[in-house]
Amino acid sequence: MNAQFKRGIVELCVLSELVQEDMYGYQIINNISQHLDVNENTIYPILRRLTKEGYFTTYLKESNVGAARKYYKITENGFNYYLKLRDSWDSFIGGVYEILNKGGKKNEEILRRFEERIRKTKTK
Amino acid sequence: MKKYLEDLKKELEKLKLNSNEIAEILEDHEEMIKEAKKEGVSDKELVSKFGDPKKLASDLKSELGEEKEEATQNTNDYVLYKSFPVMDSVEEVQIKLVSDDVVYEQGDMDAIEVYYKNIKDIEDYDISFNKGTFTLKKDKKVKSLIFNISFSSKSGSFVVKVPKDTSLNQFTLNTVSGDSKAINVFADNVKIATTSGDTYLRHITGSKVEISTVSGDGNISFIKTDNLYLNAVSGDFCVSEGKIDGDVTLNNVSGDFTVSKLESDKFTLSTVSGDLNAKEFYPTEINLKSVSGDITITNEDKLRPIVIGKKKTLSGSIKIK
Repeated sequence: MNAQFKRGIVELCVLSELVQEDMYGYQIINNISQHLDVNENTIYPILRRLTKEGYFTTYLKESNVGAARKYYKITENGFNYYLKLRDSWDSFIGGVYEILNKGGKKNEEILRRFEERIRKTKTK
Repeated sequence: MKKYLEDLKKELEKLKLNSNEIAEILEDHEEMIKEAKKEGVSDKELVSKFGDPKKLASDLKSELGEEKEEATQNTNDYVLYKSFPVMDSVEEVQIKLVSDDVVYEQGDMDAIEVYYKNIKDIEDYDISFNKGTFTLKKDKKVKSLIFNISFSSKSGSFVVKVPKDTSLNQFTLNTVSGDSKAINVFADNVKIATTSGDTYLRHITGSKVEISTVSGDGNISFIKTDNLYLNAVSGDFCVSEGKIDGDVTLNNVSGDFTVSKLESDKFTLSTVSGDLNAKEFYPTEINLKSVSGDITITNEDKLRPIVIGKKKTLSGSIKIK
């Protein structure tokens, strides 16, 4: 996948994770990499930039095991940014699906339609 | 884990991120790796989860956009006065101007290029490159100062582009009532004096940097030097992102100083009524001499010690938060 495109998606995912609750760094990375094929070296730079831009703040909290963890908390600015990003993502991906679905919703349907077309052109 | 952190540190240092930034990034990674191990992630899995430290470092650099190069001056509406081919090197740059704006920066050519616009008599200027010394100077003999000021409706401006990676012995910039901008100045000695124009400096590196301004505002970022002397009479001055290996001396009468992300040795502020507001400012020692000026520093790292040295003030105070 195009790196630029991937970064935009990961940015939205990081924001979305923190909209749910405050999390520590590894937790965010783990949650995202469970669903998407991205690793730490993609997620962490984005997390850090969003923090620098004031979308997140951080605080230290003791964990019951081991040392204190650094938690990330979304700010009001960050939340507004998420809403904006989410909105443009929804309308973008919605548009993409409208285009794709014109060819059929599932692979079987697409294939069936395609075969039909080929048959038609042959009989002509 | 140790190796990963060491490699990451090396890569980050290679990319010249600032030391606070590097320390924080390493801390974050140490924590994350520990968490991963606690959850039973094996060393092998760890490598694939965390990926290549080299890629991480370069991604961090591009994401954080630190030290992002400033777009070079657009010279479309300028006239190229002359291009001086540079055979050996440029040793010295001397710019002395009255009522004209000037931009100094590095270009892509192996030559010093001088552009100008709204300059009435370009012949009245001494523009030369001789034995490693580049000069751009208003020739005072030709016209008196008063004549010039009263007749120039639009202020003229110059753009001087030197070859990439030019490293000088001496950089001197003197301007009166014009704005000055200098980007990527590398010189042993940097001396900048401006009167009533604004001064914008970015990426200034030198063993000794002296800046003095009278009544104009100043902005300086990414400064690296052993000693910084800054004199501002009444303008405001903003200093951000820098590492001063030695002492910093700031003098002014009534302007305010804003400092952010600066590390230095001994820091001295002499002022009558100007204040200094700083964020992430880590000098080893602070000295204040003022009538009513205050120093306020807000730092995230509370543990880094800042010694309060001499304090001679009537009503000013030093606050470190």
